[in-house]
Amino acid sequence: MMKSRIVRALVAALVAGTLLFAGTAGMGPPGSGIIVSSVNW
Amino acid sequence: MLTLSMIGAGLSGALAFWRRPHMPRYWPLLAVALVPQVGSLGGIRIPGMFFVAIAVIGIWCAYNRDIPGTAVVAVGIGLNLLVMGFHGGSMPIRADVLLRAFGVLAAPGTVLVGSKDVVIDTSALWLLSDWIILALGAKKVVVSPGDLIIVAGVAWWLLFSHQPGKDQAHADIIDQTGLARAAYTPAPWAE
Repeated sequence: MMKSRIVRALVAALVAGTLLFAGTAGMGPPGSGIIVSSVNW
Repeated sequence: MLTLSMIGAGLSGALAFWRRPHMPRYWPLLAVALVPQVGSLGGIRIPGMFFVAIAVIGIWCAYNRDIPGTAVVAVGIGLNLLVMGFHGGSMPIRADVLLRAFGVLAAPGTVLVGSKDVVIDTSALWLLSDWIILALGAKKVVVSPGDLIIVAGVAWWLLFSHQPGKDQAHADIIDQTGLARAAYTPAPWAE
């Protein structure tokens, strides 16, 4: 019972974390040397 | 954003431990979406790699469309994909927004390390870009409308897709049986 709850929590954390990290495209405070290159479209 | 995502993951795990959400299928597919993110942490940036990651999440949402919240996530993903598709696979951020939020002056076309962003002067789709400045304590983050919708979708999934466990389902059946017995009254002539 407890084991299944822990597994469920881990999977939920993995899914939510991935959706937030990979799905969103926000920007936090930049550090120094943030500029790497310029692109041309 | 990595820190915020990890905080979100921790909260989600705690919520799922306490209250069983409807668990999505094909969640290993999300590992594919993580690969470009891990690469970007290592300084690798290939044009379009974030676009691919977000597209994979969109496919994952389609597979899990019956789960509450995933349709909302898909809308947010779609908005981010749309604007990123028009800017070489990167999320645009206007130069004036970057200056206002972080005091950083960068020329349009500049790629920003540690984010998915590229600086633009202006865009027809700027409303879908990173322009919403949120103050989180002393720090600021700039997010897109799609990002906020994705967060709402994840919260929706965790809060409103409660799936009773086997024990709870069994208890429900017993309750229903008891109610059915109580509702049954034999006719007087049957005794």
